[in-house]
Amino acid sequence: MERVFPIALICAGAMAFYTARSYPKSMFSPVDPGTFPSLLAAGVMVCGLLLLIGTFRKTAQPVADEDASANMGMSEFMTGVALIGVLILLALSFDVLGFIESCGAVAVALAYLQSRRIIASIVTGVLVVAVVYVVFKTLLAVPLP
Amino acid sequence: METLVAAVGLVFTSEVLLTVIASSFLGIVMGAIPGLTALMALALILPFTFYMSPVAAAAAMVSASAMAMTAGDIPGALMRVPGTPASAAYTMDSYTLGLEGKAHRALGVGIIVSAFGGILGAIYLMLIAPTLAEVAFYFSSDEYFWLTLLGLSCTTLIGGGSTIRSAIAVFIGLGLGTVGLSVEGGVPRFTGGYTELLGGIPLIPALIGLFAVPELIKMARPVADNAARIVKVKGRLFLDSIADVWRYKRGILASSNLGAVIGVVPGAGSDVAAWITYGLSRRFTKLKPETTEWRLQGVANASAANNAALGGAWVPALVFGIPGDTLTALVISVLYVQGIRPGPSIFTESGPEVFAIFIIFILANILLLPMAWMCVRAMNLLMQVPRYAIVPMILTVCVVGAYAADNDSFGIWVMVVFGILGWILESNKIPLGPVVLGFILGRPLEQYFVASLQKYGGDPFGLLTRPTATALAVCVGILWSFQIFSLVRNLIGTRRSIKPQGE
Amino acid sequence: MLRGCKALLGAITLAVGLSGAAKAADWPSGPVEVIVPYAAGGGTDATARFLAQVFQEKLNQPFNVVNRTGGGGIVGLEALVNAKADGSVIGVTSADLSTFKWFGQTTLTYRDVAMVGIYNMAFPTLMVAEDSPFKTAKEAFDAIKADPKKYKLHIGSSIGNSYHISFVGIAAAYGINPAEVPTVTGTGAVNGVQELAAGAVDFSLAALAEADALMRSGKVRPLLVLGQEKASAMPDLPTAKEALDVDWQFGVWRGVAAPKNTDPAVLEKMRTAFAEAYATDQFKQLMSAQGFDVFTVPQDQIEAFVDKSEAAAGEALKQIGVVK
Repeated sequence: MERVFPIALICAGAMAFYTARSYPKSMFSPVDPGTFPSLLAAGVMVCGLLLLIGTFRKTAQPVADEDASANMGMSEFMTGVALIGVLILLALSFDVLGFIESCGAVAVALAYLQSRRIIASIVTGVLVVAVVYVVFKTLLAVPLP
Repeated sequence: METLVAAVGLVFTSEVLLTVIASSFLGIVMGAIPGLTALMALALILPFTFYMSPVAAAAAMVSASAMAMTAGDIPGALMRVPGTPASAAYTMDSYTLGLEGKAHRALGVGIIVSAFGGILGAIYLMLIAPTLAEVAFYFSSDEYFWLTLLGLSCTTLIGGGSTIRSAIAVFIGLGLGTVGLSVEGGVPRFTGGYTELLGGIPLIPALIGLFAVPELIKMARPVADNAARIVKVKGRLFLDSIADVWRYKRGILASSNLGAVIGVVPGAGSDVAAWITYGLSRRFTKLKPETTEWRLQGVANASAANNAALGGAWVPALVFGIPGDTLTALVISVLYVQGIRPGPSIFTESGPEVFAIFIIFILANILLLPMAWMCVRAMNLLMQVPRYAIVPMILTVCVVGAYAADNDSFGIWVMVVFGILGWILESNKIPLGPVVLGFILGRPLEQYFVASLQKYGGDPFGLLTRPTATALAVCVGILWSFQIFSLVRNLIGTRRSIKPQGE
Repeated sequence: MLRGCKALLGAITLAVGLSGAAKAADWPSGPVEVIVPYAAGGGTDATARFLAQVFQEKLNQPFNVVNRTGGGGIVGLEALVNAKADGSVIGVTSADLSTFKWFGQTTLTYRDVAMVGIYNMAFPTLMVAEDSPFKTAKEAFDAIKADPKKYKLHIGSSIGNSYHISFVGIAAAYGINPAEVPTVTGTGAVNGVQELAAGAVDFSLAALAEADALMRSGKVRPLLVLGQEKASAMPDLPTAKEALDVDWQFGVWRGVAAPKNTDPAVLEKMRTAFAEAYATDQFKQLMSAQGFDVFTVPQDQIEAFVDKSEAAAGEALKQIGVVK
C-alpha cells in the first residue's frame, strides 16, 4: 500500500517529463520552455525512487510522527470521498443554481452527515449560508451568482 | 521624520483601527480553532482586503497573523490539539501543565512572551529592512536565483520530518508553478487547454483547497472520540505568570532574537523558528526535565520565537519580494494588488505605508494581550458550539474565498482539485508547507534562471561570475552536501535513531 | 468531462437568461456590470473604477466593477465577448489583449467586441543606468546598430510583450536586426530597471511611472519615448521621430467596449456617455495621478486606429520570428 504513492509519483514525473520535452524550442532564448519543467520532473522521479527504495529498507523508514494520525482508517477515507463528492456537486451546480441554493444544500448535507439530525442540520445550513451571503455580497460587494 | 508623521497619520484612521480590531478578532478565532491556521486566516481575509486601502489591508494581515499565532497555543493547552503548526512544538508541555491545573500559567506566559517576541520582531524589521534595501539595489537575477534556491533548500533542511518527503513537496510545488505560459516566450505549458490557466494556477483557490479540504475531512468524521480530556483555565492569567516570565527573561530574549533571525531567512518561518528554539532550549537547559519549570521554559522560548519570526519574515518579503514564509507569500500578493511593490525601492516608493506597517506591528502585539485574554475566557463558550455546524461554516467561507479571488467559478474547481491533491499528499505524510513555498517561488526561480542564462548566452557558469552570487551559491552548495550526506548515511543504514523533538 | 459538464450547464444558464432578456432601448435600464480583466488595485482597474463612478453619476444607475482576472487578461476578454448583449455588461479592453492572437492563445481580439471609446495610449521609454556612456538615444541606437550582439536589453516580461513590440518596430525601422539583440526577460518592467541599476543589463524598457523610484534616487535615466507621443510627466524627453527620425509606432491603447451584438442605439448612448466622462477634469486628474496620459480617438476613426495598431504589432512580431 505504501508503495503505491512513490510509484504514482514516478509515473507522474515521467509523464511531465515527456510532455515538457514535446514543447517547441525557443529561437530567441538559450533556455527552452521545456528545460525547467524537465529538470523538475527528473527531480520528482529521483525522489520517488528514493522513497520507493526506502519502503524496501525498514531501517530507512522515517519515524512516523504521531500527530499526523498516520493510520488513516476506513472512516476517514469514506468521509474524504463523501466530502470531495459533495464539493464536486457544488462546483457543478454553482453557476446554475447560484450561491445560496448550492452552498445551502451542501451545508445542510454536511451538517447532517455529522449530526444525523434533520432539523438541526437545516437550521445550521440556512443560518450559515445566510450569514456568509450577507457579509460577502452585501457588505463586501462580492458578485456572487 | 516626515515619513514617520505621515505613517502615524495613515495608521490612526478609523478604517485602519477598525480593521485591526476586526481582523484581530478573526485571527484569534481562527487560531484558536484547531486546524485553522494563521495562513487560513489570511487567505480568508484576502477577499476583504481588495476593498480596503493599502495600509488597512496590510494592517489586517499583520494583526490577524499575530493573533492567530498566539491563539494557536490555546487549544494546544486545553485539548492537546495545536491550533497552528507553529505551536505544535510545545503542545505536549502546555497540555501537561494544563492537566496539572497550571493552564493559566502556561497560557499566561505564552501570551506575554508572544507579545514581547512580536514587538522585537517588528523592531528587527524596522532596523534591518532599510539597510538590506540599500544592498538589494545591487542584486541582479543571479543573486536572486541563488537566494531563492537557498530559501527552498532551507525548507527541506529544517522542515522537520524526512528530507526526501520535504524535497518531494518542494518539487511538486515548483512543478505546479510551471503551469501557464512559459516565462520567456508564450508557450502554454500543462494547461490542458484551459484559458484560465494561462496565467498560472490561481494561488488563493489552490491554497484554500490544499490546506482547508484535508483538514475538513479530518473534522467531518462522525464524532465518536469525545473521550479527550478537556482542561479548564482557573486562576489569574497574567498576574500569576509575570514572575515566570521574569525568571526566563534571558532565554526569552535569546529565543526572540533567534526567532526573528530565522524569520529573515527566506523559506524558514514561524514553524521552523518554534521547533529550532524549542530544540535548543531543551539542549542547553539547566533545569531538571519533566518539571513544571522545565516545561514552562520550553513554552516561553518557543512562543517568543514564533511570534518574533512573524516580523522577521516580512524583511525579505518587503525588500526582495521573496516571502520569508507562507504567510508573507500571501502578504506579497496583497501588497501587489494594493499597488505597493515589494523590492528594494519600496522605501522610496511607499515609505509612509511601510512605516505604517511597522507601527501596526507594534500596535497589534500590544492589542494581543487583551484579545488573547478574552479568547481564553471565551474558549469555554466556544466549545459549546455544536461540532456539526463548524464544518459547513468553514466550507461555505472557503467556497466564497475561492470564488472571489477571480470572481470566477473556475476557482471552485481549482479548490476541489487541490483539495484532493492536499488530501493525497497529507495521507502520504508529504508536508504541505514546502509545496506552497515551491508553488509560489517556482515561477520567480525559473524567471531568474532564464534571465541569467539569457545574459550569459546560455552558459550556466555565468551564474557564478558576480561575487555576491558566488557567495550565495557556496551557501547553497554547503547546504546540499549536508543533505546528500545525511541521505546517503540514512540509506546505508548507520542511522542513529532520530526522534522528532517534543514527544 | 469537466468541460462538457460546464458547457451543458452554460447552455441551461443561457436558456434561462434569454427568456429574461430586456429590450434595452433606454440605456441603462438597470445596473451595469463593468468587466475589468486585470486585478483590483492596478492601473487599468483604477481608471475603470473612475469611469464607472462618472457613468453612475451621469446616468443614475449603479455601475459595478467586476474584476475577471486570470489567463493574463484573456479570461476577462472572453467573459466580455460572451456576455449578454443587452447593455447590462460593458468592459475594459486594451491593445495588449489583442496581441494574444499572434501567439495562438486565443482567437479573440478587439474585433469580437464593439468599441465604445479609447481613453489612453501608453509607450515605454528606453532606460539606461545613470553611469551609462550613452547620453542620447541616437548614440545608443548607433552603438547597437554597429554591434547588435554586444548590449543586453531587458524587456520587462516575456518575448513579444507590448514594450518589446514598441522597441522592435523602431529598432527595425532604424536598420537594426532586433532578433540579434541579446534579450533578457523577467518579472516585469520594474524588475528590468532594477537589473539596470544592478549593472546586469545595458538597456531596459519601462514606462516612466515604473522607473520613477529609481529615477528619483538617481540610479537610472530615460533616453527616449519609444513612440510618437510626448510624455506629459517629462516633456523634454524626445520621441522616436525627434531622436531617430523614425515614424513607426506601437502603443498600448486602453478603451471601453461592449459585447458585439449590442443594439446600435444603446451603443450610441454609451459612446455619448463615454465622451462626457472623458471630458471631465476629474477624469484627467485621476489619470495623471496614476501616471497615465489621456488620449482619445474620434468615434469614426477608432476602427482604422485599432486596425493600424494591430498591423504594427504583427509586423514587429514577424521581425523577431514570433509570427511566421
